[in-house]
Amino acid sequence: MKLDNLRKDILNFIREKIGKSLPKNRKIFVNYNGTEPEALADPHFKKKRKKNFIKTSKYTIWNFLPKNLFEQFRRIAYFYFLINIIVIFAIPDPPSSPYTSIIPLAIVVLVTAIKQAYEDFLRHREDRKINESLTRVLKDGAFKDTKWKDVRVGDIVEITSGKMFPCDLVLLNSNSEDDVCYITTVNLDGETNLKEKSRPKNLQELDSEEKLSKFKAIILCDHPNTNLYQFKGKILLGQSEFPITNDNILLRGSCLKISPKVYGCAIYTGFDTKVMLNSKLKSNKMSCIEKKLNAFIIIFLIVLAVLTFFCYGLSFIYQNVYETHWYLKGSEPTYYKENRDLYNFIFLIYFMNLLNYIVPLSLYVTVEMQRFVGSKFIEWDLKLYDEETDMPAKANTSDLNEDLGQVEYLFSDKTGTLTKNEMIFKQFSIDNQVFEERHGKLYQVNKKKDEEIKDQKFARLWELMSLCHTVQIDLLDKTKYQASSPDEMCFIDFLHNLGIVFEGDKKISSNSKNKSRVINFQSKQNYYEILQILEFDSTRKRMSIIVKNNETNKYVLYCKGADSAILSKCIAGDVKTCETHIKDFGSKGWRTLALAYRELTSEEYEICEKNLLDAFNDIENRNEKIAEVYDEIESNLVLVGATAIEDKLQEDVAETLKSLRQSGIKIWVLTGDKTETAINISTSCQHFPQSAEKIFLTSMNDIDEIKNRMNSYLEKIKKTKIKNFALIVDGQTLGFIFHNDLDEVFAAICSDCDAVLGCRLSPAQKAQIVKLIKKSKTKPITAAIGDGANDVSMIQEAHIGFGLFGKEGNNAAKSSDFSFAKFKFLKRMLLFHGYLYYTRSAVLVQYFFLQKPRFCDLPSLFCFLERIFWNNIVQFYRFDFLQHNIDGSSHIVLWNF
Amino acid sequence: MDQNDSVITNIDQIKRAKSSAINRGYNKTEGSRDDITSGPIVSSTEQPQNKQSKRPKNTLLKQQRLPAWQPILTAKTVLPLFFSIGVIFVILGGILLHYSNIVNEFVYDYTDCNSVGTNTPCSKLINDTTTCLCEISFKLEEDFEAPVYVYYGLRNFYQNHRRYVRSRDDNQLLGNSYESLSSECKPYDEQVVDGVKKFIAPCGAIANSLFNDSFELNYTGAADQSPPLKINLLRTGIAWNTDKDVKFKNPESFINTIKPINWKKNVTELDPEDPNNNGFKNEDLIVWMRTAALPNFRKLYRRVDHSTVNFNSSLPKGYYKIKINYNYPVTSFDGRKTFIISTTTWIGGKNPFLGIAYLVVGSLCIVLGFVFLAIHFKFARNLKSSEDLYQSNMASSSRNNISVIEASESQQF
Repeated sequence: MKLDNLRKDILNFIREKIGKSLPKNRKIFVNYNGTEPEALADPHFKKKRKKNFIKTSKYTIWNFLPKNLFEQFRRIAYFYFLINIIVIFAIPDPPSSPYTSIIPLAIVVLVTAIKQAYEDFLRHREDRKINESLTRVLKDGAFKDTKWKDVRVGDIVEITSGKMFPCDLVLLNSNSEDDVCYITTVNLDGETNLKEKSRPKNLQELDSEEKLSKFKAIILCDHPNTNLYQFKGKILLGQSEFPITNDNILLRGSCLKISPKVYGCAIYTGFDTKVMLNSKLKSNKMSCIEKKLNAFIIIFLIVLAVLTFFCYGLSFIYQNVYETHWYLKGSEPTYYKENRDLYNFIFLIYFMNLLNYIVPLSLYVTVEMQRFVGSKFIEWDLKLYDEETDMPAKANTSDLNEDLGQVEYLFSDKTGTLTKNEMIFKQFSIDNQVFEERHGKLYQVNKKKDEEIKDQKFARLWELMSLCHTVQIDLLDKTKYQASSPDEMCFIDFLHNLGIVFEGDKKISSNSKNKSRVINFQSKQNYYEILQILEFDSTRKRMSIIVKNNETNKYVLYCKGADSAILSKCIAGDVKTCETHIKDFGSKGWRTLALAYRELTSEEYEICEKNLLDAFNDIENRNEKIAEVYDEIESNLVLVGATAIEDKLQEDVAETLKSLRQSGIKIWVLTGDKTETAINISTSCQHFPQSAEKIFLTSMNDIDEIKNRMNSYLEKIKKTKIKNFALIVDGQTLGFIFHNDLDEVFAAICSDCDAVLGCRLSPAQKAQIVKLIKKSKTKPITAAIGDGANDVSMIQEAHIGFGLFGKEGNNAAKSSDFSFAKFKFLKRMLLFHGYLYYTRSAVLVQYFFLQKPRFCDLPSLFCFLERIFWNNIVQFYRFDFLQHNIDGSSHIVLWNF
Repeated sequence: MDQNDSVITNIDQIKRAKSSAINRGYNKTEGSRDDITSGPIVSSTEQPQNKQSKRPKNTLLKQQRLPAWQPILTAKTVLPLFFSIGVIFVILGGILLHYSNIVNEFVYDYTDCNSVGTNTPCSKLINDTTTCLCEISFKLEEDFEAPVYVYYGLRNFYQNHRRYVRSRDDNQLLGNSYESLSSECKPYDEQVVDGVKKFIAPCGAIANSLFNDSFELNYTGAADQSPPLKINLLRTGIAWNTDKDVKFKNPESFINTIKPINWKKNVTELDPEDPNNNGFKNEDLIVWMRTAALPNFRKLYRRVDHSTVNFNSSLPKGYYKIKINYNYPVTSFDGRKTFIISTTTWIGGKNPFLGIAYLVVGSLCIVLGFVFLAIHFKFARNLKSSEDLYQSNMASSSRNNISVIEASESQQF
């Protein structure tokens, strides 16, 4: 990271010096043709209108041969053989026909080349298909069919329903009543729910070709980046500014649904689009065997050199053979008499050539072949197939098969990985009391009399739960909901059982700006106008909604989130009892959310709205400013209560963890959840061995205290003979540890603990922990498993990343090396496939060590015994070699399975 | 098979339908999982509905359940193997050694033999005189059963030298016409005689160094007193049939050819008695042209003619005399020449090596068998069943062992 920053700094410095500094924002001229004064003033106008052309192929017909050959001959063994062949052609009177060397080399090179050519051909075809597909672009006042590749930055594009977006667009207009459009991003992140996109707020209506062709604006936005979920920019139209947020962006790779027709302006094209930038992020992991292959080959080369010089030395005994053996006289090569030094030198080459089969030419190809078949076997495995979701396992890479068998540390996410992420609403706490729902009726815990739902004490709670969420009615099937968060879905389900039904967002009158949430409270419809939704993020750990009650015209902010994020902001309500209830919930392994509200005056709201608009217009510091505004408005809250949701354990989690632990794999659970909940889940799934002594490094703020605690633990661990500790550490403490160079002590403690549990961790901290272990003294092989976007960094950091197809999108599965449907499959992956591939690869490589010298033992033995060198025997059985070389090494691959 | 599959798919669909019904409100993430990393996305407007099940096929190959067998080496399986191999090898070795031993063989190294009537060895004389004659008397202690073969042996003679081996022209030996000889024959390919260029027939270093000692074998009776009785030696039937019929053919004429430099006779005069055994078809030449792989070798020289009265069934024991026409120089490179009379059996000539090797390996196996047996009786653990093995593995908590069992489970039939 530091290096990266440094590089950027240096680049910027150079750019400034030569006067070509990169502007802070991307400037896009919408609809300009180059004759306008602004365009003429910009020297880079032409350059800025980048084409939407993509090329993922590596080769062209013309450069395939040289480029591919060059790439292949970078491998030591191939290069050695090439040199060898050249030498054979160069020297007079070679000891073997050059074809015995050329044929095997040609075969392996050809096989690889054909494979790569075919892959590239597919890429070419795909590229062409994409580049040539048609879309409609505004040209000279009318939309005309244009190839994707001819779309340029600043062009206005028309998309009809069901079509893909050719590049990243800003939505300018949607031809539907409510000015929004719906897209699916299945191809981007695997989420199937429809996402609503709207045009930038307050922007004029641009619903016809004339209006669009007159629309000349300048868009300022970020430079192309990989963040799919964030966008900062604004439209400058004359004197007015319109902020652009992620809600206005249509990304390439997504697809327009429902809305009949939309207009958008191209902002990123071709390789600048987010999907293309993301595709470059493909992790390039290497297995440990791969890393050793070149070393193996060097060993072979050394053996070859030793053998060559050994035989060469022996040959000196019979150097004057042409003089003493009269019958050989006359058959000596011409240079024998003329230049004895040259003769000796060529002699050396002869031996090198004669013994060169010891270099395992086919090693790479064979290993690759084996791996390819191996990854197929993972995908074919019925025992890794999940009936429920119809998901077989998937190997995104075949390079890591053998590392599966060597995992020493497993880092696991909790939510969605150990648990099912299927939420069941358990209880809630309000006014010092705890309630639960049974058969559609409400009971106080441990009491038999049911409660009146309409009771005034619940009113705030029902309002909050039914309003403060981002659940949507499914647009295709009106009886279903769509939720990106299972917790919220659980709320809606719970309320549904009680007869409180969320009926979606509607515009109640045509002149109102905002939609209203419609809540059917026991057959009575209530309307709440949505003013702002302050979306969830992992630093705030809460979300809020500001609504206006249409009957009472009151402004209210409803807020829900992690208890730590809410309770500290509360000024009223029974915080203490609620806290004990939350602790109680947590100890049962339930997820808790704290709920609060704040009544706003209209003035307060207006100030907030203005601040937010300002923040959105500031492209550079937008995030910071928004956070500030959110923080301000989400304060002085009144506590309502807390909810408890059970997240069920996945099937056979305990079983799996147990066998993994018995196999000597250390398991760490890293989660963002609360300490109590995490410990509880850990115990219930037997992540913590029952006998283990728990040691805590949690909620500490003082560095010295942490140091002391860690040292005392270290001593304690050293003293105890039977090491059976479970370490619990939280994000806060870990932050101190990492910032104060206590990594090593921490790693030392960890390495002696049976189980480690990290709670309250941010995604970055998860990755940091993985890195810490990865880089520790013994350099263990690490694996990480997770299901959500918050695990991606950890998955990519570990040697092997496993992804589960999660409820919250497929981000993890996509960035992983292997993905499957359930946690329990991990056992089969590591203990069955891992073991199998490790032994298979080991046998394969060892076989090369056996096979290759075996080729050479006869000639070298012959040299040794007879002290006379090349002979006809060697000549005819070389063809035997050749055949053996090809089928001998491939049949071992087949054997393997 | 097809029917089964479709049934399975149906069940899947029902299950899926059920599970989605249970998860009311959830839009399941069943969409295509086109990888973000796999590059650009092709427009796919189809809804991911009615998709075929992605269930992997339950075939032997795909589930890695192809019939496989891996021996588990325990004392019960290994010990009988050792003993049986030992016994079989010892028996085989005995048989081989026996047949090697019943071969009668007489070897005589005549490299340093003296010229007749002098005390000078022929090896020194042949440089000056054209011919040198040796006479050697010896006694066969036993009857040599028919058929009896006569060989000459050479030691330290590198017929396998790479350049020597190639120094021939197979086209010429096939009797085909040629404009020039193969360059491999150089420098033994052409000679200019009286201004006329002539081809050497046969060309090359191999032919040039044709072994040219000749032997005459006489029987001097059981008591070395009777007058020498010349034993008829057959010049034919000593070469491989393939060589004689396929690889060597005479040209229509030998015009414009000349004998190899070292030769004393023309190629057409190699056999003075049998005109069919001349030219490239001469079996002595054919035998010589089949180069030996090792520097110590023997080549078949003659067959004993058992049609004559006295030698009908054997070469009787008693005294013999060989007259050697000593021509071939070997002392310059420390070579040796031997004269060999031998019978054969089905395994060939006398070669005890194979029999001894079998005996050694066989007896080693038996000895090891006993050693292992002793170890087994003394130290063996009594594993009642594979269950015990599993338990003991679990106890040692070695992951590899567990997976071995998993793996072996999967590899069973």
